[in-house]
Amino acid sequence: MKYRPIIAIADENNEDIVNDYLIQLNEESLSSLDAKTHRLFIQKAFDLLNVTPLNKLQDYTELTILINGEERTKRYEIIKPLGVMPIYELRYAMNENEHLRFTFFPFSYKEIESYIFVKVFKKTLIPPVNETNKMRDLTYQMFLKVLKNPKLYLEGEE
Amino acid sequence: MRKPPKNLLNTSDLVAKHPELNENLHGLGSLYGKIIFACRMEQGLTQKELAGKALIGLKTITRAEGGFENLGTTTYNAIFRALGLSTAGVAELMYQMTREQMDSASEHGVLV
Repeated sequence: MKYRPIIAIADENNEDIVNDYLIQLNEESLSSLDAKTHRLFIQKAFDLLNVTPLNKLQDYTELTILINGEERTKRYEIIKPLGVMPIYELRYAMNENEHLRFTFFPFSYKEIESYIFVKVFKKTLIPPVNETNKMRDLTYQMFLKVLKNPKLYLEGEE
Repeated sequence: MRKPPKNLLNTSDLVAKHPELNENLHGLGSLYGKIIFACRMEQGLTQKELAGKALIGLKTITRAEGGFENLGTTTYNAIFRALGLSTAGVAELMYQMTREQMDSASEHGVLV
């Protein structure tokens, strides 16, 4: 079993899109059971991603959380490659209409393989909104930047 | 100045808002759950198939993976045995996970 750190970096505008979204969801979870459920499923997906190879999560997988003493399980394909290597998305359906997507890429630095998260966005069926290709391409641009200067992006210094 | 990277496995903000989640997210049950999930995936088993191998109910497997705290030693032993893990093997995995978590956090300059 190999441990892979899960890291979020600021995007091309130096904005902490992923971390800020999670903090906002933490805040909403104080007054919304749905938000708390979403937050726990997302955290569970991060937790399992850090001990499971990517290819094992591209098939139907069960994710279980405990919330207020009860367990809830979802079974779906947690990870999907986005056609431009090495960009992937981590998937989570908030409900039938809203589908949350996090884009990320695996990256090796100082002999440690990590997953670097860059963007999070919502796909909706009604109205039909799908920014996947745009987010994938922006994430790929960040991958190239990290490749060029990993110390700056992964340690926060030149 | 670039914003520093963030460790997405750090749940301190979430636990600060929901202290009752501390055991669930950071307790022994959570660690066992991670090991069971990782080994199950490695062996390509569904939760139902693992339950069959361990001769326990599916609900018990979902609880174990969910980090449920109130499962007995006998239950965990049955699951670990079904996954081919000895007590020493589980202890080794727990040590390895904790060690690697600390090492990688310091290498990346992000706090756990």
